Amino acid sequence: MSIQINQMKKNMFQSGKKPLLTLWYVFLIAVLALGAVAVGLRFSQGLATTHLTSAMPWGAWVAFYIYFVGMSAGAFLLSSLIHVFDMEHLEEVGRDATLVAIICMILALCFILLDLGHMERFWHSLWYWNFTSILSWEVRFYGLYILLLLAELYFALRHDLVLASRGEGLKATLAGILKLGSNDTSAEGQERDKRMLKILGSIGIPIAIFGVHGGTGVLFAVVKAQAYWNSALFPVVFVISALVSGTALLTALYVIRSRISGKEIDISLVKSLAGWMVLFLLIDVGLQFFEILIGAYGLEEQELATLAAIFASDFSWSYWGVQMGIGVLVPLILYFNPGTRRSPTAMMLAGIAVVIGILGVRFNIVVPALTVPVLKGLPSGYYYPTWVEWASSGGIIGLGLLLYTLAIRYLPIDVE
Amino acid sequence: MQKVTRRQLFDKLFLRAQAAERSEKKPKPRWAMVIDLKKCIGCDTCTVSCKAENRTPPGVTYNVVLTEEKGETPHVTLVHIPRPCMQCDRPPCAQVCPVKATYKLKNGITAIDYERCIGCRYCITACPYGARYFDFGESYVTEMLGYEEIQAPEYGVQRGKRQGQKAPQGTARKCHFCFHRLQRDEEPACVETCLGDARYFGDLNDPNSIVSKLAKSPRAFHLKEEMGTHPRVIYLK
Amino acid sequence: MSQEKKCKLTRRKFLKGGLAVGGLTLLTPAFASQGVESNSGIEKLWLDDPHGTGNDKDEYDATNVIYSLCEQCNTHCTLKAVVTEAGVAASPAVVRKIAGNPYSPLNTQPFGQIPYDTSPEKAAKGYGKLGKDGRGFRGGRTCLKGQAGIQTTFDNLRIKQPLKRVGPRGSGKFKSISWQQAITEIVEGSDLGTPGLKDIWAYVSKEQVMADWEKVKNGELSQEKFDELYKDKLIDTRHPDFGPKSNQVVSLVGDRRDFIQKRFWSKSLGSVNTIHHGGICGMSGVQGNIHSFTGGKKKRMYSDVDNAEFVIIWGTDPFVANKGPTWLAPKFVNALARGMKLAVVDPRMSKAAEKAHIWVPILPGTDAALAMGMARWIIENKRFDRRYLENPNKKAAEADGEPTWSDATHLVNLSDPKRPKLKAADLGIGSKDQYVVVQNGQPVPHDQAAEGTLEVDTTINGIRVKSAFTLFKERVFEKTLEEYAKICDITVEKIIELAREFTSYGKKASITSYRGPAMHTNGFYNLRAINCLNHLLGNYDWKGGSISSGAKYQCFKGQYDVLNMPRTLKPWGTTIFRKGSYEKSSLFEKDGYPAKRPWFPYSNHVTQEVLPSIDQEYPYGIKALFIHRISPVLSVAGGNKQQEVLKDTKKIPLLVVSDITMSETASVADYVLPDLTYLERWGLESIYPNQPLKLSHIQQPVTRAFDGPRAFEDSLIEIGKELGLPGVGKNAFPDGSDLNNAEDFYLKVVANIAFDGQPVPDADAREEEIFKQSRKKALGPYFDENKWRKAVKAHEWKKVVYVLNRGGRFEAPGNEYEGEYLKYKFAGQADFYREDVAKGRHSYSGEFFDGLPRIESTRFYNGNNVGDDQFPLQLINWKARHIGTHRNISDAWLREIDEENFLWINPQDAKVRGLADGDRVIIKSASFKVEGRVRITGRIRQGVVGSSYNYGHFAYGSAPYRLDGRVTDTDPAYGHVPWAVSQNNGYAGRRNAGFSNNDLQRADESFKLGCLSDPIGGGASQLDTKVEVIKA
Ligand SMILES: Nc1nc2c(c(=O)[nH]1)N[C@H]1C(S)=C(S)[C@@H](COP(=O)(O)OP(=O)(O)OC[C@H]3O[C@@H](n4cnc5c(=O)[nH]c(N)nc54)[C@H](O)[C@@H]3O)O[C@H]1N2
Ligand SMILES: Nc1nc2c(c(=O)[nH]1)N[C@H]1C(S)=C(S)[C@@H](COP(=O)(O)OP(=O)(O)OC[C@H]3O[C@@H](n4cnc5c(=O)[nH]c(N)nc54)[C@H](O)[C@@H]3O)O[C@H]1N2
Ligand code: SF4
Ligand code: SF4
Ligand code: SF4
Ligand code: SF4
Ligand code: SF4
Ligand SMILES: [Mo]
Repeated sequence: MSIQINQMKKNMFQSGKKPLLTLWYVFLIAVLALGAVAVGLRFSQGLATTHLTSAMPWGAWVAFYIYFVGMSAGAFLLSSLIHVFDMEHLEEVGRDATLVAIICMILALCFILLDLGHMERFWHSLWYWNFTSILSWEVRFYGLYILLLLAELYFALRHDLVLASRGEGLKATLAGILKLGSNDTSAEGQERDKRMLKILGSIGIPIAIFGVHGGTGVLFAVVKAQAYWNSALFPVVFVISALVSGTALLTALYVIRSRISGKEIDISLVKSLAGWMVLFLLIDVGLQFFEILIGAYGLEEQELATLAAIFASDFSWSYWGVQMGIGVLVPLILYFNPGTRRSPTAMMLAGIAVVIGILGVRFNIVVPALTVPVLKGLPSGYYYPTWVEWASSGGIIGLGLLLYTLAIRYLPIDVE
Repeated sequence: MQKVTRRQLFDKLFLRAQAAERSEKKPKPRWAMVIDLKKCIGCDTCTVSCKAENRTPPGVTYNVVLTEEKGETPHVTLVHIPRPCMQCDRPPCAQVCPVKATYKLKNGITAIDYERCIGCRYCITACPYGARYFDFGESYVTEMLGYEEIQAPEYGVQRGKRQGQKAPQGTARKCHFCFHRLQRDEEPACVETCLGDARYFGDLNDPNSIVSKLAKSPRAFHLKEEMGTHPRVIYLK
Repeated sequence: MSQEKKCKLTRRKFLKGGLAVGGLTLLTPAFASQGVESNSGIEKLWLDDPHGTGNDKDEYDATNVIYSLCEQCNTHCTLKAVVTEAGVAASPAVVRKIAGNPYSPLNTQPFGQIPYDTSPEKAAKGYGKLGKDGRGFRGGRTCLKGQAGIQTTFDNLRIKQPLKRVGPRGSGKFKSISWQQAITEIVEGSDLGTPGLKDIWAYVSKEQVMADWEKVKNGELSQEKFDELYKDKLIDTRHPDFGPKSNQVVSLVGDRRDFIQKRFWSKSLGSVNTIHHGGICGMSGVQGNIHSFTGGKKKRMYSDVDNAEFVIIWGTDPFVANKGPTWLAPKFVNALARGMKLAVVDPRMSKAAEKAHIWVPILPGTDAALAMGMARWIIENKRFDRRYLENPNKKAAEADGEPTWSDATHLVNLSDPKRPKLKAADLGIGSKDQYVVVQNGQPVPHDQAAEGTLEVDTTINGIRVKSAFTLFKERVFEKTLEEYAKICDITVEKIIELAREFTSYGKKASITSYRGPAMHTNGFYNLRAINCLNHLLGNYDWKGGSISSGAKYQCFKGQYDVLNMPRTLKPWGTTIFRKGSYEKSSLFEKDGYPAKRPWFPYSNHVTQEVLPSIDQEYPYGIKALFIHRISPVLSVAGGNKQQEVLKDTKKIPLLVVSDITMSETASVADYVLPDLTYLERWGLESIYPNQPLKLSHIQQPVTRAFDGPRAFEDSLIEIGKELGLPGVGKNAFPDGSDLNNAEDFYLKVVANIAFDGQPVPDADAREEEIFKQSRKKALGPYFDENKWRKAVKAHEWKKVVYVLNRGGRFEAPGNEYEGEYLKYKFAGQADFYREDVAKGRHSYSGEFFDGLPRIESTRFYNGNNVGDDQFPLQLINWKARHIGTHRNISDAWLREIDEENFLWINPQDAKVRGLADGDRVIIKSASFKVEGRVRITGRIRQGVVGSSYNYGHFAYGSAPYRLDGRVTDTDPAYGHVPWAVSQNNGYAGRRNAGFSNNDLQRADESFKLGCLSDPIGGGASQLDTKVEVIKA
């Protein structure tokens, strides 16, 4: 049955009418349009369109922001592992990973932009500098990191771009621009590209680990006012969970894209990706266990209250259901059950489950800690996103999907 | 906004050194507040006087009074802790602010540059006292004639009407020790009107000031000392 | 345990408690100075050169300042308003900020005011060295309600034009009309079917009527002839004692009573029916006080806090309410800091009780039992001031260095069923005005004895007599301490502890009391009993003892006799709520006992009886009701039911309401006359009887938010003119000057104040200039200097300006005391026994009242116990710290403090009922039920529940009405999240939040409509109702 559908999809994609693609575009445009309405409202009425309050200063957008930063870092780390350690068998997803990393970063920045009380002052964050502000450092790391990613993508694609530019049509024109004047198709050129990738990857790994995603974790971890965030393990968990989400996303993407494009699925590649994913996931869960154990052990009021909010509040479904259920239990079952383990579809589902689960993780980092007042007697935070927050988030994610779709259609992402 | 940008540029490039030099000239006070919890009756007059002075919007309450009840009838005790901004000398809010919109003035006040703040609210999560608020742009205007006509010149800056989404809407806000009142030799509104005569104010650079003396009291303590924030609001237990 | 030791313990417990709470939870004990040492090292990281700062300091000077008077509650504190130009209000300026008036002691505790001769410029600039003293002394304190006052004036939901009802009464439809039309229709009648005053009003003098009535009685004149003569003038020619038809024009008022009540209603209109809020405010307390003293005015019970060593706060909360926190809270707090001991008698932990060394959570309404228990112990242990009590008169007292004396030694004639005091005339040893005391075994006229025998129980000339003290002693010995303790449900030890402390500080101990023990059916006796405790100490007029009514610079006499007029009408007849002895009325002749509704021999202003009496047309029906600045629907016990009377056009053919907002009462009016708010108009303070210095403060216009509203005085003057009444318009004052508007009255009052005693200096040219400039700035077109000047004589003007520039006149500090005594003295007689009360009769049974304090249960008018045992919890109420009566609900800043009036319930009571904090509950009494939310707290004793009374609006901007065909705005729901409103969240709840405690108040079953009242004190019962609380 699934094969049939896939066959169908494939036909649709490749036939002249491409109804599925059209449908996909229509869907994306609808999501984007709704998102645009929401963003419009947010522009005209400010943050009063959210359910954020002074007691709950951060919500969905920040959760999405760290979610996508994490995803980006994870994807990037994976691609770098591939380049730096010459993990040939993963080569296939390498470019995809870089592309995904870039797009995720764009989304992350969109989210954080939307979240600013004064969006028009976004440039202040680069113009002004506060040595002690992790966020101040982060912004710069993000910039550096994005440049690095772009360079990496360039070198990964350069050869193919040069080739593609020789053809005709939109794709060729685009490639002609993006090859940045290079015409070299020589083997040395390709070698150079490889070297560059290695170098960039080697620079990139610490930036991604310590700067980008670890740093994002640090952003939270340094906040001593929030006992739950304030732990040295926090950034580590951030990095690990980044790897979890990155591998998960790529696993899923790989399977989906292969299905759609009708390419044969490399089972071992899927297994290997899924293996990494599960390994990271287990480490992640283990670290989180320590995190919680140590936090709880301190019997510090605010910490306990936060844990209570996570485990036993109106919103604990987000922990038990999304983070642990969908995000951990489902993928583990799918992976360790011999029946499903071999199925790329199952691994795809596992990947998707993790991707969703990690979203829960991000919400559970941001929201519950803030529900607990820092002083007894201050109002407790309470939060769920407004439709404006949901719709704008949907719009931004839609934008990401659109970019991705366009990129894989018009850029030589697939390794032929 | 344009004007501000230009001014900021100017500041940054030319005026900085000069201003710094000028401000060194005569000894400046370092402001501090003392709140005597034994005297505080938990009336919230401070809270309302602050609203009236600073005309903060709904949801922005620079001062609150936290009340805790302990014990069983009739052995009940109540503790009221009024909470303005502590004007920490090691302020986590300034520590985290990515653009130095929040920073310390020499007079001890933790200031917010409303024209610089990008509204990221990092500082709000970082303040261990919950002293920071986000201005969501709300208003009393349906109920209160003329609410938007006047804003307090917080930090000495007259911002005219509250309209559009002009700052301080969209920025972080907090108690500023009534900066503008201090400039005109008037104590903070909450100190002026404290019904329990529980709030004291003054200059810690003056060893004879009432706050300097009270700060030495064995009853003196800070909220959440363990945070290492070194607050300038001293409580007497 | 010795008494000192015990007290220390309590104090230590208090401290320890505080510490424990602090230390354990929020606070970490630590060392303050370390963090604030210097900007060195780490601190430097965040130091930056100023950016985003500037030099605008919102500076102001004397031309931005007007000193006036706060009316956010009935305390009437002085205030300072700083005005700023802004183009929104009708006048050019708005109030930027309210603070206390630095010239006034009321706002400047504990520092004291600045010297009265300080120039306004200097006062506006201040004195202090901010860095060192921490104060600039530019403004003083006000309470939180005072701080928010600007929102009362600048309330967008105010009524801005005179309104006339459209459709039936209470339809909620109005149209705007002009002032001229409003006045004309009130006077001439209207198409609504409302009668015009000119047709219903008539006056005839008592002398004339009674002369003819005598003739009728003698048979010299036929009833028919009498009827014919007076049917157009009298309410009822069969009952001429009801008085003229002018009495059918009734006013119910909350403030500006002097002008409205003492001048216009009485002397221009000649109506006895002008009733203020007394009956629902503190009337039984006032009566209990008045009837505990002879020979001076002593309406309230206050302590000289500054020098007291022990104070009992008995059923009042001077930290929140009373008169008022602005003045009293800093006094008490500093007295505590100095070491004064404090006990609080209150069923719930008031704010005062939070700070007290002893909290006595008494069962509500059993205050007399506690007081008598204490008295018993004090007498048994001989801890009263015998020397004081043995003085029967002023001279004897003076010889002992006592400014006051008591009636303890005066004899009471027990052979007379009316139990009067024995008079010297009765024994042939003197006059009718002399009491008798026993001195050296012989009866002597009281004023001729140097000392009286305290305990007398004998027969003289066949007359059974006992001394007042003996009667009192016998009364308090009727029960044992155990019995008293049981009634109050507190321990015997508590009673003893209180009594011992009370008698351990000589004259420096006293009681401050107010509404708590008073607003019961037995309130009068409670207050009598409590007063007798002060009597036992003889603490009156002593530094640190009991303080008497505050002295004032005269307001109504001096330069101008403002309450008089060349030709006045003299009001006479029976008031609608029936003040006076039933037995003297013509109705008694007809009906005998029981009277259909209660008569009140002692008490004026029985507010709560007004509408029910109108409804029952007892003693007579009325024609027109003017309600000004009071809203009985919310403030009267059972006011929800009384609203129906207001809607009845037959019972109230014309209903005019003067209000600032569409209140619950205004919403059923025929005409609503929009009044100026307190920041826009003239006024006088009315109650401030607790300060040791002489002062008089004045309310004057500070701003004008809307153009349409107009001072109620002006409307009355217009009405008076149209009716041709005396005392308005030309030659309205005895000196021939005119009364055309409010200024004409109030500026004359200012002149009186300015010239009293040693007149104030003249305002110099600069002061005059400041006066003009500030008014021009603040009021623009609403300041007409010439008009103001004309209100007084030319030579008075500069002094008037001097007083207005300071918001009143305030005696210099340092004059509070003369040696060990207060300067302003009561200097009268303290009464254990009251013959005037003893001879009074209950209008139901005809039984005599008691001249002594006594214990009484909660009773209906018909004498039956209320019981209501199926409702196990007693409902009390109190003043919310953040809302003054009902009228501050328009202030969002105050609504932010708390979202609604939670029903306090003790954890034990909550547990039995399965309630959790914040639960919605049904509160049910025998008369009504409401929904509310509970606050579970140990701050209220078991068996008692209660809430603040200041909530429960259903109009007042919270509900729309139709105005000129359009639906009006209502107050907004604040907060962009649905869960915004909660304490400390900074978002105001809706104006209609909470419930009206008065809705639940017990109806009196003895008659159709109305609440329980104290038959002697005349106050409404507000603290007696029994309820049950069920989870909703
Ligand atoms: N914040 C605020 N201040 C106000 C007002 C206001 O509405 N709000 N109103 C003003 C007015 S009009 C007035 S008259 C004054 C009133 O001033 P207060 O007399 O101080 O006011 P209440 O709150 O009525 O005081 C009653 C106290 O008695 C307690 N009580 C209740 N029942 C009993 C009892 O049976 N025995 C004893 N011993 N105590 C009892 C209540 O718990 C409460 O603490 O306040 C004025 N000030
Ligand atoms: N159960 C219970 N009942 C109580 C009390 C209690 O503690 N418990 N307290 C009692 C006491 S102490 C009192 S004094 C009464 C008070 O009861 P009220 O006098 O009825 O209450 P207020 O809120 O003072 O004012 C009533 C009306 O005056 C209007 N008003 C305000 N300012 C102005 C003005 O400037 N001009 C005009 N024309 N109108 C104005 C308001 O809008 C409001 O509609 O309530 C009593 N009722
Ligand atoms: S005004 Fe003073 S007494 Fe009242 S709550 Fe604030 S600090 Fe305490
Ligand atoms: S109290 Fe909070 S807002 Fe104020 S200085 Fe300290 S950290 Fe900053
Ligand atoms: S909200 Fe403003 S002040 Fe706070 S951290 Fe962000 S930029 Fe700084
Ligand atoms: S110092 Fe000023 S800003 Fe701070 S709480 Fe007091 S009144 Fe408000
Ligand atoms: S106590 Fe009453 S009159 Fe005095 S400032 Fe407060 S609200 Fe105004
Ligand atoms: Mo009252």
